[in-house]
Amino acid sequence: MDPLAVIYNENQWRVNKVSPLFNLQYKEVKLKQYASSIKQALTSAVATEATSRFLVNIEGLPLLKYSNDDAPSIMITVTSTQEHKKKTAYNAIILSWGKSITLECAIHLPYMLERGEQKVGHIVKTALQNIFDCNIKDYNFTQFQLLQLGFNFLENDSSRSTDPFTLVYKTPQVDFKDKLTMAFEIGDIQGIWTSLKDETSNETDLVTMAYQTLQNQLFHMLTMDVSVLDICEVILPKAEVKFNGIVKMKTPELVNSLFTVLNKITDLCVF
Amino acid sequence: MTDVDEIICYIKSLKKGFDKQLFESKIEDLAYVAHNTGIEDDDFHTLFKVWLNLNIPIRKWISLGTCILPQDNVGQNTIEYALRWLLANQLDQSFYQRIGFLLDWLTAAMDSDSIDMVALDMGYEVFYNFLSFEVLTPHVIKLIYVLTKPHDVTRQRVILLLDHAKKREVKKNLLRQLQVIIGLFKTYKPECVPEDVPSISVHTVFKKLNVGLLEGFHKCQTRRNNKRAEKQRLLWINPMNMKDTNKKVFPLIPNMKFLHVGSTQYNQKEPEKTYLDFSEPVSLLQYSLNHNMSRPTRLRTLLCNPTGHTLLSLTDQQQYSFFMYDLHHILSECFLSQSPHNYVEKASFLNQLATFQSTLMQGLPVVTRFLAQLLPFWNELDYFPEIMSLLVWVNVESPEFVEEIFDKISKIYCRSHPMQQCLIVRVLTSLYGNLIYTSSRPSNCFTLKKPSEEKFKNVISIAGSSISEMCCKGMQINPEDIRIVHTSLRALVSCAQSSEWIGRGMSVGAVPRPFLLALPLLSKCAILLESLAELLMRYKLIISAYKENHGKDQIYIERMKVLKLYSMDFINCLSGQFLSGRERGFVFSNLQPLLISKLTNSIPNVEEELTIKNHLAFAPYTYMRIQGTDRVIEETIVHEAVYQEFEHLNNFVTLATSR
Repeated sequence: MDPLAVIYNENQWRVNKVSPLFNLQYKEVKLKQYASSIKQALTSAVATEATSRFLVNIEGLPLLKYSNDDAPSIMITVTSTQEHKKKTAYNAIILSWGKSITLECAIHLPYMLERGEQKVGHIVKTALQNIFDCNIKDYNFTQFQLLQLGFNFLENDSSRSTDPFTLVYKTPQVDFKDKLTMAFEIGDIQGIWTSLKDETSNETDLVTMAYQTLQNQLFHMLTMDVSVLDICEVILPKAEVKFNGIVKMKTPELVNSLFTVLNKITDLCVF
Repeated sequence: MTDVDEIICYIKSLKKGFDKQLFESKIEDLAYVAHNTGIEDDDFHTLFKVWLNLNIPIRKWISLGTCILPQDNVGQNTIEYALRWLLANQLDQSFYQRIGFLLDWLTAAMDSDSIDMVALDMGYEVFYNFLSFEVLTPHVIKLIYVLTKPHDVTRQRVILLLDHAKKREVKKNLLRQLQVIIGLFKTYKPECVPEDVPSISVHTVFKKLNVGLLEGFHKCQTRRNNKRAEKQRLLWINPMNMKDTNKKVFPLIPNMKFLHVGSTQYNQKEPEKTYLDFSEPVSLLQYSLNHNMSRPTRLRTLLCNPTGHTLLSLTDQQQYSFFMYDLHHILSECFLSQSPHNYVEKASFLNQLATFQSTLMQGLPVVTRFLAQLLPFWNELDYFPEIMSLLVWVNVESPEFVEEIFDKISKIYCRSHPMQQCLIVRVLTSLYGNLIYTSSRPSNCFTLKKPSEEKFKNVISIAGSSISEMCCKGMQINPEDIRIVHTSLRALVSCAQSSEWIGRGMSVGAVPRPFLLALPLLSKCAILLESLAELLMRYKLIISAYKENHGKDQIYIERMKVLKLYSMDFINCLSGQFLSGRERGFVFSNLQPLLISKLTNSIPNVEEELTIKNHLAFAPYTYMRIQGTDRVIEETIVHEAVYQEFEHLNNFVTLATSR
């Protein structure tokens, strides 16, 4: 089975960035010990009814990586049993995709995908930060980064040309909850993208120009200037990304695309 | 000043029918000394003995007793004397009031920890006997309560107490006192007290002591506490974390914790000590150098106190690299983008980071990089003092970061208020001095490797030229502001000093621009002219040292030219030739001929008049001598008044005139 299936078979994930994990070991025994530490943290923090219990399982996913240089990934699953009903309360995958910091005493898995209950997630992340002396912080994508991701998804998306490419806008700095949705056809956008690729090879310029073209089109057709609004979501048929780090990917190519862009966005330097 | 000796003599001489008012005033004086500076130990002991044997009315005796307080502690000799006195007088009923007060006095001393407990303990038997006397029991009860030890409890004593209790059954108060003691005995040795004893709150039984007495001993205690040197205790809790009830946010500097994953049941060897096992910094550091210690859960915890900084700087290469990446993550996540931490916590974190850099005495690459990334987007307001303190040390491994920092700081400088400008210049001068220091340090310090000579030279020259550029611009913006002129000039002198003392001719310091050299001549401040002379003198030394190291290369020729030209100008001003000699200098070399003719016409003998010796800046010194008479200021006067005051000016003039 495709090791990436654990990612694209699920619906939505939240992306986080992780600093190096001190003294992470993959031996069965150690993984079990980490799991029991997390379980302890959960049981002491979450005041639940006596009938529900938490089960924490940590497994290594040695095939979920970009290349052989990457360290193996880790998947954490928290199931809660309540009155004989089992459900997955929380699920997280920590992985590396080709670009990471090399240290002697620590392993770097820079990205963490998580989904599930927020409260449980918060406790698990605190526990991980204490066990491995790391920092886990969620991504907040800027406008440019959202477009970068969106256009990169576009290149790897295998949808039909009539499927929608949607941009969702919100009004910045105002407490106005309504959002504005603009839908284009994928075929059109792909046309713009490929034609601009002939003009420049610099990715920054490409993204800016492509978006400028879209803005111009919107202005032309609807006399609406969207440059004052903030993009908060980019939606494709098989992938989505929101400004607060929520992503959805349905194919392995799109998973690869996400992490390739994240490698570019994230500041991974060497000291 | 009250003379305690005199008071002692007075007290010794007290006879029947003494003057009450005089007595009161003497007691007040004594109380004053006792409460403030404290009575010296010899005097105290003498006073104590005299007091005990004094035969005056009881009230006066007690009020005298409340003023007799030790400086620090009631010593062994005093206690022994007291016990002897008690033994001698215990059977004399007329002494009971005095004995009662003396016992109160000892209790007060014990309560405020101002007495030698070992010596006091020797009097246990004596105190115990007093339990037999109803009158004295309330005075001695607390002493017994505190001084009793398990081995003091015997069945014989218990029976004795029970006897007394039976006799005092009617008087509930007295009974309660004994019951408390019996209860205490029962807790120490239940087998000696099989009887039932009601439990009574101890503190209801102890009598209230004389307020004045307690106050006095309390003052003695405070005095003692203040004098004792502060013992540095290790505290690993960050006060920032106490206030924060928002558990959703991870702390920037967490409290110290040690986490162990997995079971310790089968660990054969002794567990490693953790930092929490030590309460004193020195012993912790000594131990850590020779033994392995547990690593704290989060390395950042060590940023919270100076001991932690020292431990971090002594850590091994692996942990150090890990820590650097941890810092990098925190700095980019919390300062270069949004984070829910509050301003105070972030400012405190940056402060600790700055202290850590100072402890290492070098710039951390991660911090230099952070500053290079932050400054372009900085609003010049947030964390201003903290960023300034971080700037004092930079790392030269990546010159592009340093260039970026200087570039942005120059722009910030030009936009700032004068006081901030002064601060920025000071900070950059420290940066310069530190760079020169790190470049000339012979060995590596701590875990960072020393960058190459080339890199240092590169960065130092960038720093030097940035500083002089900034100072020049600052003076162009605000030529009237004496703060700017003074700070800029002193900054350059500082840089020259560092280059001269430590640089050993490797760099040419921050080369002053012409405008910076010219402006002090126009100021009304003597110290600026002095600083100018100092700068020229130091420059001469630096450039000669540079020539020795590098020979007469392009840089040397350029600098030498500026130095020569400017020195010429200064000398011309000294010797009254500033106009005629202006071709040989540059400050006055561009003056318009029209302007010069106007000047010569309006002021006769202009060159003689406009010289250094007639300079307004030195007026306070020279005019004093001539006292308002119309005498011309002679050279001798100037020598006495001015050159004696200003060392560098003197040296410069001596050098100039000897040529």
